[in-house]
Amino acid sequence: MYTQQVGLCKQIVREHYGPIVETVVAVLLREGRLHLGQLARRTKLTGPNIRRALAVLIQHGIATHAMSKDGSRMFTYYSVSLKSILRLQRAGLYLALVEERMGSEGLAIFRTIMVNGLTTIGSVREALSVAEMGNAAKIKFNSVVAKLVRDRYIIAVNPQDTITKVDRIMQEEAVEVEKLTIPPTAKELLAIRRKIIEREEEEYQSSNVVGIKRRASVDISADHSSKLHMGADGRANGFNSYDSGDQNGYSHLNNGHQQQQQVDAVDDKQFFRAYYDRLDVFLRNQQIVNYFTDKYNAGAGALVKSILRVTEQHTRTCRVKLSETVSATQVFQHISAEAPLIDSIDTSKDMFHQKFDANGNPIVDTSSGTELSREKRSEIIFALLEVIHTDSSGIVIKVDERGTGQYRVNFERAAITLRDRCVDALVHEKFGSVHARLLRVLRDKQKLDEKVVAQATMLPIDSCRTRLHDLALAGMIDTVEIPRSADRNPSRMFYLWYVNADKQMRSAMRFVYQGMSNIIERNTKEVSARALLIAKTKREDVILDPGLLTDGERKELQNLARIKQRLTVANVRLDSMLLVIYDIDPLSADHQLLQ
Amino acid sequence: MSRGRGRGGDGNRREISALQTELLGKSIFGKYGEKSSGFPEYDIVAGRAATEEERHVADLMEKFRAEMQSSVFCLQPPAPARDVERYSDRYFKATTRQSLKGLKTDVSLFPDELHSELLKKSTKGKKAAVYSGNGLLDALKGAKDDDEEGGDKSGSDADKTDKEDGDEELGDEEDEEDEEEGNDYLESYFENGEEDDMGDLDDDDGGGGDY
Repeated sequence: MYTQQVGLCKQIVREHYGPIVETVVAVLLREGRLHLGQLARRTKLTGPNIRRALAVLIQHGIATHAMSKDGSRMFTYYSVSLKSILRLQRAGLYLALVEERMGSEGLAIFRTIMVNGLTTIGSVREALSVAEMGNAAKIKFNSVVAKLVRDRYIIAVNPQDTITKVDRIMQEEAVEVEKLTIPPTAKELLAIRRKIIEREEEEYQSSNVVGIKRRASVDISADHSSKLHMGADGRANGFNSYDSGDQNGYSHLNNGHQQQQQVDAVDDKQFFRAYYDRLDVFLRNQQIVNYFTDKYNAGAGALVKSILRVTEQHTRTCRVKLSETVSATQVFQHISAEAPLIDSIDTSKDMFHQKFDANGNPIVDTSSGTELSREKRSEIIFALLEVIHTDSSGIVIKVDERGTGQYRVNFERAAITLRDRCVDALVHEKFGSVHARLLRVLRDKQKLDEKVVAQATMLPIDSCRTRLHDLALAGMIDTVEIPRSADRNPSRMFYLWYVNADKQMRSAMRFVYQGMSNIIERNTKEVSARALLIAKTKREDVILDPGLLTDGERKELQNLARIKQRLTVANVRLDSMLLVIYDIDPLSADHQLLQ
Repeated sequence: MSRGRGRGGDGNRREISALQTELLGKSIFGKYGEKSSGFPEYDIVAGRAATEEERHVADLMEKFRAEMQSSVFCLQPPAPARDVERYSDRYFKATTRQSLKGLKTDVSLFPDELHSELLKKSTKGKKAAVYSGNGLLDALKGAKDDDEEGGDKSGSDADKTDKEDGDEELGDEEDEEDEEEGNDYLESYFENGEEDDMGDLDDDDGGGGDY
């Protein structure tokens, strides 16, 4: 936990839940687990206020509770999760992701669930007034909800989920240990813990998704089909057929023919909450696609996107290090028809795909270039796959040479590559291009002496020394001492500079947290500077007749909206950096397991 | 003649007073726009412009934040009492937030000690408890009342509104009693000497004779 992180969390909670909840969270972050009496003493709030604050925090999955014995009495101890608080800053990215994949209906459903923390589908139905909609809209609603549950965008909640994870694991361990007749050895204890974690994994991977009740077949007529794809604001197009993992979802209808549609029905009384770990997987995949798009072209990005979409089904969280195996044929089947493969790679000089006429002269492809034949398409895809798997990052690896080849995605390598790229950009922004070049050289060459660094970066020695110390002060690089004599005399030591990845990551995170904190503070200041104007806009007469505002006031409000948008965009960019630097790394995701 | 100006110890050097900076434009700092070593020129690099996607994400974020702030989950302390009544108060609607007790949630997810904030209390038990205490009070007070005014306040069919009316009536009766019976302060028990007639007093030899 960092000081900047704690300060940021308090600001986020205040923004979303108000000052009372902020006071409770501040004390819990500082002190750790506390029960009601201790909270009352430390916060100086009244009992009802503290209880309401805790209820709000548990409702939104920020706080958890656990019964524990203190002396002779049992108390309920409450603790908060930093990760859950920081996730609130990513709400915009999550909503945009859901809108892109599920359409405006999915966005409305998901936003209702996010605002309420946990809720039933029945309550969502009431909130969105689905009962007043037409039959087709109701069917669309049900199918979108089923898809959200099936693909685990939202997950069923049970009473165990609000109990602090550490206590829950300890309880399960205690139950397993009770079954043994003799006290367990260290190996047996490890095996018990592994079994508990694997049990959770099995529940996730099982085809029975909690919350899906039964399959209902519904007759729908074709004239509703065209209306169902466009959202209310025309932004999103609903389902893309290549997105769905299995084909139980929506099917395009022909003109005037009635068809049976199989729709999974979701239990209206089951409580659901948003499953953010899964959404982080999708955001990570987007970053990987962006990397290949930037490095090569849009065609390469589209190809990697289709590989990741095929493997998404089995990737629960960012803790997974290697994806499932994907064959080239599967990639070819799943790639979108609109993927920009034309001109993505030149296969004309490729001897494996080159065709020759009877005289041995190469046949040049003179097709129009706007549409690709199936053969040409497969040629381009296989050529792109060859290029991608030989990329220096090692993200896409070929595991089997037989047939068209089998590929896997190495998420660990992906996290390292993306993080390095992000940190380089941060150093470039903060210090300049020369410092960034120094950092890249050290990363490539591992541990180097000062003189060797100066030679490699073509800098004068004193300039190089200053810049190395700048980077060391910022925590981007570190030194390792190699003693020349047995007495480890400091004057007779080698000091080698190197990139300490762990330290670098922590320093970068501190920068990001401080930046996000500054943005929130600036936002608060800009709003408070215009407090009177904002209060005026909330007057009943002004709401009814906006013409009561003067031109200057309207201009000032537009200025405020512009400033707020710029600050929010900056916040979103910083949060994307945080996602890349920390959240998607499988190792750090392991550390966050108990949070 | 350095009256009122500087310390007068060294006539050559004078401190620049505020009046001089106004009249003569002298300043211990350089003029605006002049370069100085303490404030070197700094090239502020503007960030890259937001793309369409980023603006859309920012809009979604703002809407979500606004929705959270207007929801029942944003707990605000009660607004401080207004010191002065203002004309614009009539245009500001008092925003009444819903209570958490109206929230549809699974109570089994919360520990028992928080259930009081999530579950609506039933009023039947409360009415009976209040009634039984006040019923005794009414009976005691009823014994003091006149027979003409004495209402039948005991009985199992009395409603809460009747009881409130009864309380109001009791209060009225008490006031009337006070007004009717008066209080001890209407009559003064002490003679303050205003009605005394000095001439009626007998001669007293206490102080001495008359002169």
